[in-house]
Amino acid sequence: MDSFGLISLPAAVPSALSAMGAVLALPLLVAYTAFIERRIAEAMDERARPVTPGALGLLRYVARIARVGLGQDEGQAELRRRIFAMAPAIALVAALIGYAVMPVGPAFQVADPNVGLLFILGLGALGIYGVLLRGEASAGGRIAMDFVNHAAQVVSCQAAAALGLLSGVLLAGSLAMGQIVQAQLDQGQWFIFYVPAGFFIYFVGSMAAMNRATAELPAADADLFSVDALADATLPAPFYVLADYVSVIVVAGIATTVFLGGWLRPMASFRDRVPGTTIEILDIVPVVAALGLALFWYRRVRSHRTEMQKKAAATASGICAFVGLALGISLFVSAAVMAAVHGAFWFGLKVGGYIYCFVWVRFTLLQVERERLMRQLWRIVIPVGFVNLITTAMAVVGTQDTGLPMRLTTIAATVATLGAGVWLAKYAGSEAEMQAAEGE
Amino acid sequence: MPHAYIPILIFALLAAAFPVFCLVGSRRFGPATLEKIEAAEEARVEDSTTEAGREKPGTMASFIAALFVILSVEVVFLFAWAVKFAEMGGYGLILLLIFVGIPLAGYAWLYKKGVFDAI
Amino acid sequence: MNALVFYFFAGLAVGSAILMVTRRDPLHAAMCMASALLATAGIFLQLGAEFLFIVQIFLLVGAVMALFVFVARSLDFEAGKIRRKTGRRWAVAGILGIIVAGQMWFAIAAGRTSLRLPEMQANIAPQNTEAVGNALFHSLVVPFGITSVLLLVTMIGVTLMWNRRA
Repeated sequence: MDSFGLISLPAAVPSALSAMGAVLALPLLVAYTAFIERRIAEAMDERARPVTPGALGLLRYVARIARVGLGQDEGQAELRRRIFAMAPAIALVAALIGYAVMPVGPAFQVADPNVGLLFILGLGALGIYGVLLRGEASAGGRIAMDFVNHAAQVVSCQAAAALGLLSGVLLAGSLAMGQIVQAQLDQGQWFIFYVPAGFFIYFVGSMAAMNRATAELPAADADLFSVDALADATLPAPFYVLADYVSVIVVAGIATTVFLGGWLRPMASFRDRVPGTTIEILDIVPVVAALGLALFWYRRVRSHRTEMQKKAAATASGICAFVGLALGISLFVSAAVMAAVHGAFWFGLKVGGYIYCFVWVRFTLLQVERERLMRQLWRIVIPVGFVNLITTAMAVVGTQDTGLPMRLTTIAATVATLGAGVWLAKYAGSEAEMQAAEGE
Repeated sequence: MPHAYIPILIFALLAAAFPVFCLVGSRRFGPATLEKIEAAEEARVEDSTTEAGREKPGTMASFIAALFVILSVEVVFLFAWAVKFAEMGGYGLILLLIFVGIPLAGYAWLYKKGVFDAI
Repeated sequence: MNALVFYFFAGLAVGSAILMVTRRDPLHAAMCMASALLATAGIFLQLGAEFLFIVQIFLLVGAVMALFVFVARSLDFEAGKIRRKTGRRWAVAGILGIIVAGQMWFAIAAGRTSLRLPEMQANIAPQNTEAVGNALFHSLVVPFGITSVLLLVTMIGVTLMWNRRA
């Protein structure tokens, strides 16, 4: 078997093309993620916005991504031994390759290997080298120690996240990303409704696993996109920041695929059609919604006073109109095109929503310091992850043996998991109190 | 089967080209910030050798890393198990209880002993 | 083409393994080991053992190597300061090496005649994870159970050693 034969290369051309598209689109995606994060941060801090970006403002983010890439790492390459110079690139590339197995709609997936989910997790495990080597590169002492401790946090969180994902894989019975989505279509339910506890564990784990310490985030006034920051060598190397944003998107993509139904629309099993056509009723909803939003923003253009606000509203209106038209036109072309465009739309929407919640929680709730987070992880989250796995397995077996609907058994499983979590939290809390008493 | 990985390989090459392009590009066209960086580096090195240089770093971290390795072994086996679970049914559940139960019992014992207080 | 890919990965693995044992800086050695493990993972992939490939990356390259870097960090090695220690360690290492070499030779000698790699490859290729699961949870279920005991022992051992150090 000539596994790497040249014969198979032509077959790979379309996927290679979509790979190229994905890589080229990446700075754009990262830019918008950063933009969302920044806007939320501003809202949370009630910070004055320096600029309200319109169409050009958003493009400026893209330009700055390029500048960040071009700006600083030269010094690192000159100053460090070779592996240290490689470290940020390792972090970035490891994060980037995760895109290759993301099922962005039924048509847009670079490759769907048999072990897709583990593949992404393995790449995440490689990303830890970025953190560790960065610590090594930072000339020893307290900074290095900080990075080592931080890396310990990252690996703990990765373990917790993997445990959360396991419950989803259990229901899907496959590690291939496409098949996980397909399983949710077949079972008529997104897995978040079957294993909400698993989703929650994944959410917590993945949030804490982000490379930047949660505590340093809001304080980072001199953020990625201030031009002064580029010249300031004490900031982390830009590639790390890029890798961080990239992995936020990857993390959101995994959550979307495993728990939120991937490219399926809500109520995917409801397949009634408009009489006399092949168009499904529910597929019209996003078209109408997008066009309605476009109209809404268009009207806002006139009511706004400043030039900037007008520009922003016009941009939003344009984007919504474009999305709405694309969705609408694809309805009439062919079933395959419709599935591709609508799938990509839903996937993008879910990823965007996940990132929004992610950033939101990161800026509000998760202001705990690192040590406390670690303690909660090893004391509560990881044991509860195992309990969740066991209860979910019991629910599946219960459904198989007794014929009760999945909905009932999984609710029972979730309640049991929650009970275990509450008990553990109480136990850990009382122990901490005892310790505090002893300490006094 | 490895055919599925050829597009990933191409993707990986493209992804790797991005940082390489940036590094090469910065050498060619980037702003000359080298002196600034060197100065900052020197300052940082001095800072770290004076106060925190001798502090023993991360014994706790390496303990966590060891726990993480054990957990990863567990998780990897469980991924293979989860894929097969639907076919195995009750037998699979018993396997899970054995495979997770034994280490989890040890974990609970260590927990009670207060090992994780230090984390 | 197939042979070319194999020799590429094999050469990479052997080369980085040699580099690994000759580097003085533990961090460099760890990086070389990671590269050797990745090259081995490449060979797994070429053989169609997808699951093994990804486990190698996830577990060995990700978790175990990260542990090494952690430990190297916490033991506070300084680059180039590890002296070569002759004497008993060499003897122990030599004996262990001979044992491992003997095992390898035995495995290769036993496998040369009985192992039909192409056929097995065709069997495991399409649904690799399921194939691993079948082997693991049916014919190899006792070793699988023993693994959990092994994990338990490892966990307690790690904790004891760590408590003694701290």
